[in-house]
Amino acid sequence: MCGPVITIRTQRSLVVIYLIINRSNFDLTTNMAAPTREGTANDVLDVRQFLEGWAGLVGNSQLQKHEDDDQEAKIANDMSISREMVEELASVCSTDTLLCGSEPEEGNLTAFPEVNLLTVRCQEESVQKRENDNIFRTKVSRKMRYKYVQTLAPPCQSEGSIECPIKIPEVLLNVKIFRPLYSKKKQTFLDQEFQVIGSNTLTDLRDKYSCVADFSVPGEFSEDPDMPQDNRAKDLFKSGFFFIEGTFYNDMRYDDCRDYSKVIIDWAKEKERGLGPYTSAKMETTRFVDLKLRLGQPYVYLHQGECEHLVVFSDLRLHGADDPQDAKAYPLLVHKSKPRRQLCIACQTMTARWIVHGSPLAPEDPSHFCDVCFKMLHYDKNKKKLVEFKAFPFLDKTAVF
Amino acid sequence: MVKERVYTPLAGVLVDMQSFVEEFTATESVRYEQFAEIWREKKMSLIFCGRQTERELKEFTEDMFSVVLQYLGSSQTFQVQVAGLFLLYGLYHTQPLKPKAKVRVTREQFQSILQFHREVKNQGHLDVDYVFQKLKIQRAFDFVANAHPCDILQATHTADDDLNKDSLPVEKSVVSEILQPDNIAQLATIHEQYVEMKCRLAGRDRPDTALDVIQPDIVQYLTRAVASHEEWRKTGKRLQKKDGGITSESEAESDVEHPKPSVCHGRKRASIRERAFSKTAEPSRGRRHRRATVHNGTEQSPTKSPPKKRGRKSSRVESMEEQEVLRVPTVNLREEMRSVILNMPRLSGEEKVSKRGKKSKTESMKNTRKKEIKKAPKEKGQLKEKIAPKGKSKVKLSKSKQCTPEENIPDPH
Repeated sequence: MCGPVITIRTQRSLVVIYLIINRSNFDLTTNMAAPTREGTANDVLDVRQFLEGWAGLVGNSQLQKHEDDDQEAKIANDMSISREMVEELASVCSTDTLLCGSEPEEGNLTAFPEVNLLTVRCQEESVQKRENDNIFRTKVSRKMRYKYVQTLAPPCQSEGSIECPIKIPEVLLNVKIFRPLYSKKKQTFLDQEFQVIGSNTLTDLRDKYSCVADFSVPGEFSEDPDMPQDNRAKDLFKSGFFFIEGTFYNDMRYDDCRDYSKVIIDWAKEKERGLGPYTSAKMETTRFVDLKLRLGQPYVYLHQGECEHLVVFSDLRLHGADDPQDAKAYPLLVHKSKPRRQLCIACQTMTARWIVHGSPLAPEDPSHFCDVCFKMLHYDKNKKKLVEFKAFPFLDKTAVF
Repeated sequence: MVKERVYTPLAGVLVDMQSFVEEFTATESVRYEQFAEIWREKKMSLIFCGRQTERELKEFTEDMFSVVLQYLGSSQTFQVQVAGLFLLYGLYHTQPLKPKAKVRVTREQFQSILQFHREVKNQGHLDVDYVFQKLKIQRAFDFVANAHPCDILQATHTADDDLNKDSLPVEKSVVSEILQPDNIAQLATIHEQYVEMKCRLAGRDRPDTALDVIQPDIVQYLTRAVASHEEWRKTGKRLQKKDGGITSESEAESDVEHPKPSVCHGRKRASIRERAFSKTAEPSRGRRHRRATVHNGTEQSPTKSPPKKRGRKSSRVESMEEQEVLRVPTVNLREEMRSVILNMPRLSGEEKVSKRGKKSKTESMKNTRKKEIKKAPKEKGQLKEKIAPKGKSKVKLSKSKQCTPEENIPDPH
């Protein structure tokens, strides 16, 4: 794997960006629909304005946890009435008054009780239809908004004081990052979902997001397979950018970081293309609170010269008391996909560690091999190559945290 | 045509909420006890039952909250707002999800809620105020930019889509879409003009018999057919003309109870045959000498009803004729012709051969019957239209085939 050749490789990425820019209702395949029902993108949101707008309406106390506080005293205070009155109200409006006595038990929520509610009847019909028709059931499953509720446990909050508590009010963004676009058939595969707070920089997110391309080892190893594989692509090619609402946020933290966006900006300047003027900024100095973005709109994250990911901001809300309070926990990984493990073609049990091109001994070209099978097949006792081939270290998606 | 949504988590919610709010407003009170009474009586806490997975439940809960938030809007009356607030309280507490799904409010919604709260305080409703305080303390609200999380992969379907669905949608009939009142009125005027023109040509009150090419009462025929079809769709009964009027008459079997298909088929077939052989297509005045004879199918057994001479195809033809209510009235040809014509390959420019025997038969038939076909007036039914042009097109094709190589030569130059 050679290093990023920007002039050639960025041509392909230009295609992606062109597509994304020119279509505000993003639809690469028939499966994907625009963020809103009408087929147009959402409005641009200024995150800082959102935060400031809410700060006036919601007091800080509402965004903090007060477990040990006396709730009733607080209510008495807010309502300017005596504590006894509050207690009386509590008994009148208690949640027990909402129980009708025939509630189902904890585990039995999927059953249909005999009740005169049209909602329950309609749901029953739908469930019946799903049981009878598999295709209908898959369609319904696909249409649901949430593919998962909570796959990863929230970080355990230490009993003691938190080192870096979050400054309230704070804004919380849900960011979805997708796998690189490879196949024409299925264009989006959710890879990881993060929650970021307003004070996180874009580089925080970039560092937290682990892509296979970052950890792969470039180089041809067929002559000496035991050569140490310590040269990660992440250390060799450190450049990258986020493209959000017409601005390229380049990572320029290190000296050897290149500005990938310059080529694109110059290319877009030609008037015939009809593409708006793009600007560039620094990733490390931009915080999420400074951004102006659209919810649901796909943006681009490019790194390693040609590894493009779609980035979608799915939700913007105020950080509340029920979210983790430690600022160090963010960006917080909320969901991680479980891709299929690439198996060794020979033993079909171990995960592949090598990818072999042009080997006459291998059944396919290219083939994946685990360490053991690879060495057993292609090398003799003296660790000499038996046939002509090329071997590259392969890192499986599941091996990356 | 609107495509029906596959997944409608909020089906029926609006109906339930609406009836609840109406009952509450009917009490003319804003007291919590009234609300709790109605809540318990309606067993609203069971509204969450039946959701199969946690993610389905979460989506449903959040969507329900967004529906109820509409009742808290500033455009609603005070009592409706109180009902909305109590509903929110009730739903938030009785939801089975752990951890609880929060009520997503946008800034505009929250502003109207705060305004409502101020009014509540001014009016001194302590229980409403308490409910509001309780929701605040329990952090039931989530302060968001967008009512629903936006995903790239699917259009965020809002609650509005499913709200008005209180039952399965009624299938629209293509027939009624095509034949709408304006179209029928237009057809009637055109028909009148046509008849008038024919009368003028003939110079008398009635048009010349030589020009009788369509059914005289075509408009009435069509409207009757459409009405009968609609009636059948809705109730499974057919409208039958009795002494000039239209009355509905129930038949041997009706589709209303939706009996099992296996039981239905035999009876359906029997009834179709019965209908087929009890009536006959009304012949046009020009073809009166070729009137079809009626066979009483009811007396004979279903398998033996058609006479041997005709063969099964013709019986099928006849039954088809009677079944398809909206077909243009057919010509009363002889039965062998009819079966032969129906089995002939379609006119598509090429000659499709399903069976060799049939083709030769049809060809021979065509040659012998050509004269008869050409004598009969042209516009009598689809079947004839198939025949006449076919003979001509055959000739045309061969000619064109000869022409094309010659024509192509001068073109490049």
